[in-house]
Amino acid sequence: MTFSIIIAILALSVPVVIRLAKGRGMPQVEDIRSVDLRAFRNLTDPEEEEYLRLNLPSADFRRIQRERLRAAVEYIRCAAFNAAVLMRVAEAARHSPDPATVQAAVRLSDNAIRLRSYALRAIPKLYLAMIFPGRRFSLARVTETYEQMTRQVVLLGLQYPLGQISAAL
Amino acid sequence: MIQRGSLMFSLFLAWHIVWFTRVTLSLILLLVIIRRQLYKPFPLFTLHTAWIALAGMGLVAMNYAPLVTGNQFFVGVAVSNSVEAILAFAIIYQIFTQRLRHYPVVSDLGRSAFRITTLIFVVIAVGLAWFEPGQAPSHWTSAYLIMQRTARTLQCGQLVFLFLFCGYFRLSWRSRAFGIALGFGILTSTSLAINAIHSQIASGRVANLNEHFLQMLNDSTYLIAVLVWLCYCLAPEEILQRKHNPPRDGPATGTPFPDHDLEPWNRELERLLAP
Repeated sequence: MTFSIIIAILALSVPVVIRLAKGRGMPQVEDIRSVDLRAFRNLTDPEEEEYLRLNLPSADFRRIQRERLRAAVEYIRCAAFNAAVLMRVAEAARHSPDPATVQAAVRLSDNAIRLRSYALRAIPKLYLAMIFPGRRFSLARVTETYEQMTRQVVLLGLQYPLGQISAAL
Repeated sequence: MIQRGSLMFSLFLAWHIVWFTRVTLSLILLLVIIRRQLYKPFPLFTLHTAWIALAGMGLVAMNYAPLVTGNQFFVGVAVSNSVEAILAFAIIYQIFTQRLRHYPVVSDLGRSAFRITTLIFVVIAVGLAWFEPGQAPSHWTSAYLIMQRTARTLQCGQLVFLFLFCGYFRLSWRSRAFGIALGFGILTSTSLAINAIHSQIASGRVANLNEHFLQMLNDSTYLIAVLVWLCYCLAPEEILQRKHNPPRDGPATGTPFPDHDLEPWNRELERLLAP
């Protein structure tokens, strides 16, 4: 009975929470946080990891690697947050009468979705790597998509400037 | 026999008032759907509304027909709820696929995740049915309660997934689709909770009192769900869509854009395109 009631409460509360979150106001373009892609690349660079592994005592390497991975998670969270804000920008632009803007908006929204999808998979992987600091992982696709998405924001902004979005990215 | 003036009589009366109101509002909802031609975008929801309105009327008629026995009425309720549950499954899936149609990039992931979620909740529902069969006066009632709880558990799981998936990927909802899903969320979750409590009630006078109370609660929830659907069907879609896409965010709204400042954009492009 308890389990059924827990499921029931979940089913009732999730849409209500989503509705309340919408009512309170979603993040705006101004809320976009700066994400340093180069720093992220450095944090997740296997060569850098290898270098640290060879030059640091084992315990120090594990501690530093955990810190690096924690920072990488924060970067991904920021990028995913930005993607969510950009998704809203793209949604609004989708209703534009200009077909080029609509096309750019669709591409932007596709990349934002893709990035959030990668983030969803990358974050648990990074946490796993934090538990096992020696474990290899590849985040090249996240980096690649983030770059691709940033380029599309630039293209969208060239048609209709959307503030300083790309500068923040 | 229920005595006038007793607590059970009051509950019985309140339950019947709620029941009749719910059936009447279902009929009104069906008329609104037909009048606003909402059967085009939501054919299965229209079928569902038609079913709950007609089956509701049928059950009211059966309740007062002297020839109808208790068992026949029970069969009527079981058939009505089973068809409603099947239609609810179809509607939830249709709402989900309609959302995905606008976002092909997440379509495959969404469908696979939906199937996996359904499978997980099938296992949970079967597990619940196996380990917590509940108490019921007869074999048929017990089987019906288990079936209903299984269906509601699955629907709750699918709805939670639907809301979380669309929320995470920020997939835009058409307001009416959200309203329909919200109505089902209210309906299935409360129905599941009531069913879980119902299956644990022991027999006796207290059980009868509780049964009337639970029936009233169930019909009240149904009434709330019908009211939610009615509100979303009566609200004009354009206004609600604008509410979902606030004007401050983009070019679609016709607000003046900030001045062009190409230099920072060019610098950004150079940095991004650099090897």
